[in-house]
Amino acid sequence: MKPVGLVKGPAESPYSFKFITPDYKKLKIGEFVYYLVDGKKVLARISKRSPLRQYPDIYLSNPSVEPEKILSIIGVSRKEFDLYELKATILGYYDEKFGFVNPRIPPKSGMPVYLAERDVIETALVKKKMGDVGSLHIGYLLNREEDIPVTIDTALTVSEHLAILAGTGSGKSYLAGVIIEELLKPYNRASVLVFDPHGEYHTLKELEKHAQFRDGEYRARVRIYGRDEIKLRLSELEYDELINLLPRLTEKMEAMLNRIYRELSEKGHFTVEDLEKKIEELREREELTANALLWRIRRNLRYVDIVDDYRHMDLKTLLKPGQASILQLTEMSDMEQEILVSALMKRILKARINAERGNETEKLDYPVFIIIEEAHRFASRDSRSFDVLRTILSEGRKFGVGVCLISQRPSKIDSDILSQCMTQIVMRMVNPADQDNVARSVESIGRELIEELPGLTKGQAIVAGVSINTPVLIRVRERITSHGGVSKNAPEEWIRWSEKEESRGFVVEKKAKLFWDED
Amino acid sequence: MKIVRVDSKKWFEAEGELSIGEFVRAGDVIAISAEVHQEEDEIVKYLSKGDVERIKAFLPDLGEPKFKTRFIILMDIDGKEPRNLPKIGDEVEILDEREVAEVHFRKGKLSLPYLPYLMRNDRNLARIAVLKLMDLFPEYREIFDVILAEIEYSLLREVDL
Repeated sequence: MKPVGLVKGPAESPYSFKFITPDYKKLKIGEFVYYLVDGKKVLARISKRSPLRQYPDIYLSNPSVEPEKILSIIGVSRKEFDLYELKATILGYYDEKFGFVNPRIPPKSGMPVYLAERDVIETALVKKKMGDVGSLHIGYLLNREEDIPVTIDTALTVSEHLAILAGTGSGKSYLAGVIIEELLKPYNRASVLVFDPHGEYHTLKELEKHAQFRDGEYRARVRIYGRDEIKLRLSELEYDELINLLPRLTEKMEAMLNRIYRELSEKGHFTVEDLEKKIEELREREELTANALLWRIRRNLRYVDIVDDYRHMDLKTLLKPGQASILQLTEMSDMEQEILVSALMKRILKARINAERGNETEKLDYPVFIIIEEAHRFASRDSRSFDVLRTILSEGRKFGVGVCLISQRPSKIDSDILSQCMTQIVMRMVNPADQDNVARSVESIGRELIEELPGLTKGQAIVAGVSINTPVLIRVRERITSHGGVSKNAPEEWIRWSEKEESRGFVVEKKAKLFWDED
Repeated sequence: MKIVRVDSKKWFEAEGELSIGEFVRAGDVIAISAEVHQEEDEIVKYLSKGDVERIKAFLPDLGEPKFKTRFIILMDIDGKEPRNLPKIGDEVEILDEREVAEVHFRKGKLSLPYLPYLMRNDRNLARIAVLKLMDLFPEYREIFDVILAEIEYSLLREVDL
């Protein structure tokens, strides 16, 4: 292997060094290089690149005259001119037992620096090889033209939570689709639930036809739940969730409702009618409070469509290994969405705790992974689902409830919640407030890689955290199923519409039908 | 015009007067006239005024000051760094336009390897040379404009008002 550069000396920190290279193509920022210490390959990541010899301004004064032409006339060859100083952060040599071990000695001046070979990267950067049981192949190393697969560890990703943070249009739901595909491959067979506020994930249904999602008896399944199928049984709601459905309750009203709720809960199942009857019974003593409470219940509980007296979603149908259930929240109000997330997640956590403790009530015998799109709406401090999300993020790991938060506004997600996501995939992000929030909450990425965020393009990402040995820049792999989150092409749709018959200049005069015209 | 003195690998002197910025060939080298000066004959310095007048009656040009031209060696005739110095007594031959173009155009490319040295040592001379070459190679005008701009900008910087 030919060296690509020679060490100049240490950089500002003891964990970085500078080296000089004439290369202007291969050694990109984020690329991996190594030097040798006692035969061990000490890996380092390139974090900065600056040209040592720049053209004097005058050479660049006429855009139609290439500086090389002037150089060739005065007899200077460009090869001699190009020279770069690169800064690299030392990761250490890779030890299977301890991970990266920093030799704590910066390389000596003049030491050769080599470009990390494919096998060095594959061994040192990722915990699992592509196709291994418990691996998620999410993409390829960004800096290499050849496809060097990047995988993350499924077990660590789903148990220690995942955050996908990116600006609008940078491909976060595309990446989430890739992750769901990987989770449903025969070597993972995960039980996945997706809260889908924009209806972007229905195309995953296509995977049921692909051979890659079958193995012997195994068949991956995707179930799509529309508004009519998403139901929460009233008696399953916690008192706090019930209160959330009823706005502006006075203390007296709350006290009355609390009394009734406790009474009815002891009985087990109850309906809105039961609730109303109980309030009416109290009418004689506290007429005003009872009337106001009744009015709110009739107005709001009947209005909230997801709350039902009898129907509810069976957890064991909703969550099964080898199945992804997509809950389409498109037609729901923000309040309904928050209550659904809160109630369902609480139920899932309870079912997992029951399974772990051997309780005979509702239980789920296997770990589950929950993907929440537009997570800033559910994980901000003022959201109705904040408390349950915080509990699951901090305690879910013990009970096998993993969460993936997807958001374009990470600064709106509570930093306590964000910091519990131990694997982070960050894509292009231009907003400085969001960048700062990511830098604060996601320590593993490091300031130098955060600076790369505005420069990333669609489908490129920084992956960091527990499920990978060191942060890497990737390009997301292509989806097997089609992407459901494609933006509408307005001009195409306008043209298609204008070519339809009714818009070709025909004015169809229709007289409005009034009630006296009716027979 | 003959070489009367060779100062170094870069400079030589010839008897006679030549305008500044003329490309010449002397032996194996291409040079450019850089300076012209006048000096008295050496013998005049050691004679009294009366003796000089007497001798002038026989040799009228004896006391006349002589013109000398100093040249900067640019390159050898192959466009490379000169390996052999010109010799005293070598004939200095002025190049015509065709010859100037020929020595500056090698393997299908314009070549002025001496330009950085010339710009460092005598910007005015470099400017004259570039202007001459600009006329000879109009297709390279854009490049010469860039070079000329740099020369003129450095001349401008010398006059710090």
